Amino acid sequence: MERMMASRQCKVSRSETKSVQKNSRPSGTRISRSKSRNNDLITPSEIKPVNKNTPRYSFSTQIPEKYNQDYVCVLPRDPHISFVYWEFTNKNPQKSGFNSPSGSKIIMTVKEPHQDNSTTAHQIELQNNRNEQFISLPQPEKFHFEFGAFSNKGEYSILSRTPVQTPPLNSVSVNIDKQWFSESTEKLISFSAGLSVVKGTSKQAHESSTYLGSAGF
Amino acid sequence: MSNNNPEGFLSLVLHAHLPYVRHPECDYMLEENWFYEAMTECYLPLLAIFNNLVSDRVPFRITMSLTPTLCSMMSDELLQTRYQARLLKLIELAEKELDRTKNTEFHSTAEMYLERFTLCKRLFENVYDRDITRGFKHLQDLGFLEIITCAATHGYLPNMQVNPSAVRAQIITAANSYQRFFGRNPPGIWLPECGYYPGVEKFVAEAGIRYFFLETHGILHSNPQPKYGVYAPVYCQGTNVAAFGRDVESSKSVWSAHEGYPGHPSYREFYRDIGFDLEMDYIAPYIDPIGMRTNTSIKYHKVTGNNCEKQPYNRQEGMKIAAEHAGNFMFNRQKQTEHLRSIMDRPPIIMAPYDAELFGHWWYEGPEWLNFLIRKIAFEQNTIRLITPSDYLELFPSNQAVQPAFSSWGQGGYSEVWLHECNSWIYRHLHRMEERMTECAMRFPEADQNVRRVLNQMARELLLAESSDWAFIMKTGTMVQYAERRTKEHIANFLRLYDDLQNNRFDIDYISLLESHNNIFPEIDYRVYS
Repeated sequence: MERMMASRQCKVSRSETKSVQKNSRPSGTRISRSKSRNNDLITPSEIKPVNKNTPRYSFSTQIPEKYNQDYVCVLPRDPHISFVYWEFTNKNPQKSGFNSPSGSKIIMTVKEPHQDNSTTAHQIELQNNRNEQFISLPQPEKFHFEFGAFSNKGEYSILSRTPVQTPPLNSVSVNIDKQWFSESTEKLISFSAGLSVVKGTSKQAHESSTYLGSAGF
Repeated sequence: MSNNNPEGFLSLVLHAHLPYVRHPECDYMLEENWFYEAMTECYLPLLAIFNNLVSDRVPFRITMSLTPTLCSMMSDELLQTRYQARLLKLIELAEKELDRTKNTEFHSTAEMYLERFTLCKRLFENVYDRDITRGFKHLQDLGFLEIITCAATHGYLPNMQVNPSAVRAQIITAANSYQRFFGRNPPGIWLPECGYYPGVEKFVAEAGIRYFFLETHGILHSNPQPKYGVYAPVYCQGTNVAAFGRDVESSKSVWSAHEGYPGHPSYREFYRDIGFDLEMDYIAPYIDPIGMRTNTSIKYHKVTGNNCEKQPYNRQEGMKIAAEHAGNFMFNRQKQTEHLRSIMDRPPIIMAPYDAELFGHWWYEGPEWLNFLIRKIAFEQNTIRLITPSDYLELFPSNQAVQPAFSSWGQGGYSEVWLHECNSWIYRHLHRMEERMTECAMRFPEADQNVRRVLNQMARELLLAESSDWAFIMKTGTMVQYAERRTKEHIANFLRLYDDLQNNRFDIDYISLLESHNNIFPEIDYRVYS
């Protein structure tokens, strides 16, 4: 399917050129506004086509930039990169102690716990206007993000912590199920990966047959 | 030739999907052409091929995923009416082309188009009474097709995992929609973009679905190691849901831009359409009414080669090569199977999934290739047999239990197509919508009629916003404005409904308009989010 859509490369969507926007509605249509609020919709009973190709109504595309909520979200992109986005409001109790909450510098810390109970931490200072970031990680086994900020007095407060993340795997497991193993398993895994696979990874296999709907355009 | 004891099995899977594009507010919308072109070039030709195989008593088993969005479009009255009108115009154009190409080397191809478009019309109007889901259902009921479902609007599930109720809603809504179209529970599901994250199988199991497919490394990186690689299914630990892995070799011969069959010089060239080649005065009635050139489905040249003048297409030559390629594909699968069988203690299964729209739309000879392949497998060899995943699981119910790995079939093998700098902005909104939807479903376990209408429409808007197609289009850089507009419209619609609900407002005109415009899943129950 993706190939079908991609075939329209270099063409301008007609729907975009003819989209009816608020305040630019073609003459001949009557704008109905809800009693309770303003909007740029017309109701079905009031649809009056101007000409054959003019949209008879349109929907708003106005969406908020912020939700006035506190949240942090982490999505894994691949074994090495995660996407993080966040919003901290002035309602945040930790943040309320700041003189200028919206202008406070937020620190993001990536914490990697190790088996010996030690933790490695990488701090990233975020720009004030930033609310999302792709983070490159050298494939830790587990990690989580901590968001914090320094007050004017230099005191550090934690704003939020994410749940512990486990990045996607990118190699063949070293674990073996003795009931489900044979001398041929290694061969079958290599063959599955396209024969020329380097032991321990099947990236080459994926790349040799990548779905062109994604890779080809 | 009998295939009762084959050395191994080949499972062909065609994934048919289009995003829900339906614009009642316009008489002509460019993006609706995706559906009309696929109907004429892919879905109806595939049905014709399958029907001929049945008439000729050729034994075969093919798996097809028909996504809920596609089934909804196929059965939508407005789109049916518009497609019928398009088909009539196309036949009118093909008739004019007979005159225009008289005494030229293009004439036989023009005759072919008229014949094929007329066949489409006959099938669409007379055989299926305009709803071609009936054709696929009939083939399933006869035992030739195994139709599976897909997430409700092809949402990319790994990016929804932060809101499990949203993942659940995509899967349960899909299963309910399948039930409506095909009168039974779906045996399998195509995870959109083969996007898998550990845990999704829980919802698949809840929907009573037995299997799904994974990209090769989703199986190979399982824990513990998969005994048979991708040549046998695995069960997802803690469930009875099986996962089948894509075979690299069979995929490459069809997908690969360099080695794949569709690029053969004798095949029809996709990029030389008369919508772009002929004079505007002549072609204007058959392209976009504003005068923008578009594809018409009539193309007269063959691939020929790179950096050279395109030569006229010759159907017989194209068919000859399609038959050769089918033979080559079968031969390679036989050799592959023989080798695998020599090192496996059970017959292997080779899983070969493809986008259905490749067949006939991009690769014009694709349906014929499939036709030749099925016939050759049935009558010219004894090594392999076509099988569906359900049949294989019935034959071999004992399989290894593993934890499959996070994966997709997109570029890079993970989420980089659907989670990229150009489209990452959507997730902040989608996740907030999902939270609000779940909150509302919990708050209104027994809503009255008006509130129920609002909540059900909120669910539709959310599902439509979640389509992986929008993020994909933003990444590919084609038709981006349309994808952004659709995403924003559904978000804005949802948020307004939510806001109205919070403030106890009911704008019935607005709700009615949304219900008639975004009318997918008429049977939806918002409580799927609770």
